Parts: sequence; structure tokens; C-alpha cells
Amino acid sequence: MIFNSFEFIFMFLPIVFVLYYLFNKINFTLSKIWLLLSSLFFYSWWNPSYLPLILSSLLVNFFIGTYLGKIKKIGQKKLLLTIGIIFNVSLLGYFKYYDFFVTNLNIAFNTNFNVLHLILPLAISFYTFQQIAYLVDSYRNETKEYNFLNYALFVSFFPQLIAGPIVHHSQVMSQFDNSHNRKINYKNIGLGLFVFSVGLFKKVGIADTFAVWANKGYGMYENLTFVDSWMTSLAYTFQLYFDFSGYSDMAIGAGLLFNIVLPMNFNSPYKALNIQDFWRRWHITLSGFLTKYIYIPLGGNRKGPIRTYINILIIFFVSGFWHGAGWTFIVWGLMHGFASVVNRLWSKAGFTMNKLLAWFITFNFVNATWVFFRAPSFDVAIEVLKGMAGLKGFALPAELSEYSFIQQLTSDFYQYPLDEGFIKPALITLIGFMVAVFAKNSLELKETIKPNWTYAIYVSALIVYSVFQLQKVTEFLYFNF
Amino acid sequence: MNYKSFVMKIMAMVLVCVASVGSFIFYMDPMWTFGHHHQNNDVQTVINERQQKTNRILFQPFPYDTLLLGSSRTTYINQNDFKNMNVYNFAVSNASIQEYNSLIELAKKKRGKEFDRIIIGLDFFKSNIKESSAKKSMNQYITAASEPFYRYKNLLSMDLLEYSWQNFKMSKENKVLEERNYNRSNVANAKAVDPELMEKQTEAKIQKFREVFYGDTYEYNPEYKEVLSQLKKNNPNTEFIVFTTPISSPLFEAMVEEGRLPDYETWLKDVTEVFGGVYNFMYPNSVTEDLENYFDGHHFYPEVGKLIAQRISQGNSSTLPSDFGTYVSGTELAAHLKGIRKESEPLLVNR
Repeated sequence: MIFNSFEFIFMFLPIVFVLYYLFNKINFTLSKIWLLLSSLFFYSWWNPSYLPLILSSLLVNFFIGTYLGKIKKIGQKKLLLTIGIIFNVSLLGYFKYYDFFVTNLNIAFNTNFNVLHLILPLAISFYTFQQIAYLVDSYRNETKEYNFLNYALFVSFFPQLIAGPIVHHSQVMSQFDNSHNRKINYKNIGLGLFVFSVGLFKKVGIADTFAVWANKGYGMYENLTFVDSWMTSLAYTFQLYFDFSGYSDMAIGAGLLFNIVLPMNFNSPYKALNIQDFWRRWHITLSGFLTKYIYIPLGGNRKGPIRTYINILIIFFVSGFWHGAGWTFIVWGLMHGFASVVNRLWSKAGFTMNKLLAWFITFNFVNATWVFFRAPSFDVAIEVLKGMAGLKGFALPAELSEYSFIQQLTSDFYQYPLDEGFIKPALITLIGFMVAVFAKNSLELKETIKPNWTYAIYVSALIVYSVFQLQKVTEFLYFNF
Repeated sequence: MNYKSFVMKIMAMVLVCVASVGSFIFYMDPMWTFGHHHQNNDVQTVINERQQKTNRILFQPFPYDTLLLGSSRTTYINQNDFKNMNVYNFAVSNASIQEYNSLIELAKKKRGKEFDRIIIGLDFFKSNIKESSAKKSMNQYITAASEPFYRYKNLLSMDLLEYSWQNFKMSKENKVLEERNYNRSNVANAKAVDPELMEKQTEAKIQKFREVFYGDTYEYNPEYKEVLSQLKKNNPNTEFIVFTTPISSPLFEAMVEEGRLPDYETWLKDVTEVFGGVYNFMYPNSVTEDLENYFDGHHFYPEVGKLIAQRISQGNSSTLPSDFGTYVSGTELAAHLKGIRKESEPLLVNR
């Protein structure tokens, strides 16, 4: 089930919410069992056949984690932790990376192993990372005596289950255990509705609009000229941001309805002034995980500059590969890794840069590298980037020919291919840009919210508008044939 | 205002908006998922006929014994004009013969058994390999309609709110304002166009047909006969009645001028071989000569559809123009084609 669906907004969420607080009046454990069962139902809605997978993953990790906290011999602990990590990585590797490895093996060694075309189980990338963190912390004796119900809720709590934020057990386990959270809290509900409505609008009202242009642009990559290529890449840059941050907002908002505070995942990343700053603002919980569980154990910045740079490249390699089983994702990750190294060298050398220029370089680097993230192959990415560099023709959309000052500049006009006209998408892209770069983000706005009529109308309008965009009707184009 | 009041106000406003708009869409029912009819929803715009007619089958009673299939021309035939048959018009825009099996199976599943009769309106230009070779099915429409809460989800759609409003305005005026509007009984009507516009549209249509369908790109689909035969095989207890759709004489002449007469003959030959005979309306006659029977030279008005239904279900009724439509059996085909070829000779000479 996804948040931006009729089933979630009008059926699942209201039923789970009402019964959760009703059960809370009877028994706190009962209400948590209800929340866990609801979360598993939420997960199964997409494909019930993967329910045993998440259940077995929960059980195995909980028991390994509990046992890790009990045994004293360091050798035994290390062995058990290794088994636990191998279990999680194998699960993820099999479902997410098997076909990638086999395909590359076949190419490299001219073998003929079968690819399995497995459907990636929903959320496996997220719950695997959360549970690896739990195992490592159990090894470090940093976990407490958790019970299975709280543990299962920490992993499967439906707001964060599918697309994060990647939650650390220390952030939420105590909240699931806190009996104060069983009481209905109207402030949390009000704030939750506000954040959820902003997220829903970002996804349905903004991201889905950009998605149409991005899909069309990448679908006709061979014919993109200068303006089309930039509009395509920017469309994806804003689609991805509004989509993912919108989804995180919805998760945080839905969590608040149950008095669970989930961590911030986006903090206006396109305002970043350098690439390190970007990664402190984009998918914050992933960066936190990679730093704590890979970068620091590898030595972080404690073993000299060369090792530091290698460690940085390793975590960005892992980040790229985690995002998708393909070479374009790996290259995207490594490009960010190298940019991060360059950024550190620049700072270390004591250079400074004008803020506007720093922002401009960072934004354009991020925008250009998203091309590798989005493109299905290097060929497509290169074609789009060539268009952006002006190597595939430079003309202006025909609508601009109406302006005499533009006519003086060029006589080369063409029919803009990504939409019926150019002005509307250009204006929407500009608005998207202004919102992403200048406006306060949803969580900053949450801090300023006041329970008054203005906000009530604002939240209602966002919800109503978004709800009526959920069900699109496709017209049949060939009417009289 | 405290947060409790804040939350309640948001919930109340959202509920009021959702309930009001949802009720209006329900009242208008533009996707035909509920079936109620009243004077404010008796003119319905075509959103997607495949989905609308599928919804009608799936969500409303289906007491029909005869299925009418065809493309946009056949949509203009009133299903109630067939005498002694209870017909459901399942003709849809741009239908390919490759879709017919899927359409039949869908309707059969709802009916629970084979149909007594299946009437198919065939178009010559759809025998072109480009128009009839791609495999098509209705699965996507069935899947859409089978989604959980499909009918209720449709009540919360901005697109459908706009269509509902459009339908409401047309119904209030009680006027057909588009090329095709339906009433609540699955009967289509066409907006009458003035002679000047009709002439323009006819010229454009003929030009398009010369370029796109009848010209050098035309190639008769060698699998055409087999696809039709398969329909018969899949419905052994069903009587098949096929007819050809009457295009205007100028369009017929364009077809002949483009050198398609031999393909037309092959087409009729294949059709009669599969079904034993065909009601042929596609040749110059008093109805096709009169351009006022068409709004674009290709699509006829429902009045012509009524004549087709009468010819098929009542035979040689005295109210029908005697030269409009004739049943041609396999044994009569050669003579019938000879007559048409003779009529077309001047055009062939010009070519």
C-alpha cells in the first residue's frame, strides 16, 4: 500500500487510527499488537507472498540481537554478529543484486547463468539496514532488553516501513514503550496532519507533474536538444526531491498521528553550498547509517588523509549500489564520492568561495549526476548530458518566437516536445526551483504552525486537492476510428 | 483555537468537500459504474468507451442475448432498434478484429454462457495489416475495474468532476454537443453539423484515408480470415451475423481510385467464407450517395444505424430504401462483386 492511495487515506489509516486509540483504552499491549498486525497488513497489500520474508527476517534478527546482548565471550559475539550480517546481506543480495551479478558474470566470463528476474520485495533495502544497525549495536552492548513486540514495531511500523526514514532503534523503541504515547494527543495529530498534507501535495501535486516531463524526456533522449535536455534533467531533479521528501513527510506525519516522532530525512538539500552539505540535507537517515556503521568502523578520518578519502569513496560506492543494482548507480555514487573528496581537499587547503557560486556549482553538479541516477544506461545518460552541453543543437521553443527581443537573438525555433507548450512547464519548473531553493521546508514550517483558521484551511485545501488527484482517468485518444 | 478544534475543523472541511464532490460524481456517474439515470445525467460524454462499456457490463444487470461489436461507426447503431433481439452494443472506438475475442469473452463471462447471437460491424480499412495485426485485449480495462474500491475511488477524481460537470451542463440543455454522446441506455447520438462543416470534414477524411489507409501503405492482412474463424470456433453455439459499415460514396470512390477494389473483393470473400454470408452496406447506394447521412463522410448518423438494424433484424422491410444493404451469401458473392466492379469501372479507367 502506498500513502498516496485511496485505500491508505480513506480506509487503512482511519481504521488503524481509531482502533489503535480504542484498544489503548483497554490495554497498551493490545493496541501495539493491533499496530503491528496493521503494519504487516499494510506490507502484504502489495504482495502477500513476501510476508514470510519480513517475518523470518524479524525473528532471526531479534533472536540474534538478544543473544548478542547476553553472551560475554568476544569471539562468540563476533562470530554471531558475522552470521547475522551475512544473513541480512545475503537476503538483500539475493533479491536485489543476484541478477546484476549474474549478468555481469556472464558478460565478463562468457558464461550462461540464468537470471531470475526476481521482484524486489518491498522495503527490503530499508528494513535490512535498520536490522543490521540493531545487530551491530547489540554487539556493542548498546541495545536494551527489548521485547519482540516493540522490536517488530520498530522495524515494521507502517509509516516508515516502505521508504524510510531509516529509523535507528534508539530513536523509536523507547517511544513504543512509553505508555504516555497511548493517549490521544491533538497537538501531534494537528502537526501530523499538517506534515502529511504537505508531503501528499509534494508527491501528488508537484512530483507527479514533473514526472510526466522527465519520463517523456528520457523516453526520447536521442532527440533532445539544449532546452529539452535541461528541462528533462531539471524535471527529474525536482521530481525526485518532491517525491522522496514528500514521502518522508507523509511518513513523519503519519507517525505523529500515533505519537511517534520519526527523524527528519530531508532538510532543503538544494540549498546546499557544497557536496558535504548536500549529504547532510539529503536522505539524512541513510547518511547517518552509512557514517555510523561503515565509515567510522573503517576508521573514518582517524587514519590519515588517504584512508579518509578511500573510506569516503567506499561509503559513496555502497550508497550508489544500495540505491540500485546497476553500474549507473555505482558511477553516480562514486561521482559524489569524488566530489566529496575534492570538497575536503578544497577546505583543507583553506580556499573559500562566494556563496552564490558555491551553491551554483553544487546544484549543477547534483543536477548533472542525477542524470546517471535516472538514465537506464550510460548511453542514455551521455545523450542527455550532450544535449545539456549544447552538442545536439541549440534552438528555442516556437512559443518564444512571439517575443521580438528573442527574435533578434535567433531565428531558430522548434516545437517543444515535452508538453503541449513551453511556457507552462517552464513556469512550473521555475516555481519548483524557487520552492526548493528559497522556501522553508515542511519541517521548518511545522515549527511555525499555529492552530488557527488560516492553517486549518491551508491543510484542508492541500488534502482535498491532493485526494482529487489520486485517481486519474485516461482518455482514449483515437476517438473516431 | 486549541489543537483539538484545529483537527476537528480540518476533518470537517475535508469531509464536507470530499462528500460533496463525491456525491456529485456519484449523481452524474460519468464512468457508468452505478447505473442510475435521471434528467441531469442523460447526456454522457465519451471518456473511454472500452472502460465505460466494460463498467456497465460488470456493475449493472446484463440481460442481453445478443452482442453487437464494431468500431466507432457501429457505436451509432441503437441497440434497441434490432427487433426480436436483446442487444448490447459493445462497439468501441478504433476497435481491431484482434480485440473482438476479448470483448466477447468479457461479456460472456458476465452472462455466464454463450450469446445467442453476435453481430459484428466490419470496416474495410481495418483489414489493413497495420490496423489488424497487433494483438489486443481488454485485460487492462478488466484489471482496472477489478481494483479494490474501484467504483468509490472514481468518486474522488478531479478528472471525473470535470466530466461530470460537462455531462450536467449537456443534460440540462438536453443537447448532444459532441461528436458522440451517450444516453443512460448505452445509445449514442451524434451532434448534427452544418453542411459546410460536413463538406470540409468529408474532404479532410477522404484525404486522410487516401494517405493513411487506402494508399500505397495498405496491405491486406493474410491472417484476417483466421482471426474471424477463431471467433466462430470459440463460440460454437452462437449465430454470427456480420455486416459491412456503409461509408459515403465519395470515400468508396477514393478507395477504388487508390486501387483497393481487389482487396475489397478479397475481404468480402474471406468474410463470406467464414460466416456463410454478409450484409453488405459498403457500396454506392441511395444512402451512401446522400452526404447528409454523414458528418464526415465516414461516420453516419444514428438514423442510418437504424436502417442497418432494420435490415439485419427485419429483412426486406418496406420502410427501408431497397438498394441499401443486401445479404450476400457465398454463392451470390461473385455476381454481387461483378455488379460493384461494373459500377466502379469509370473510376478504374481514371486510375
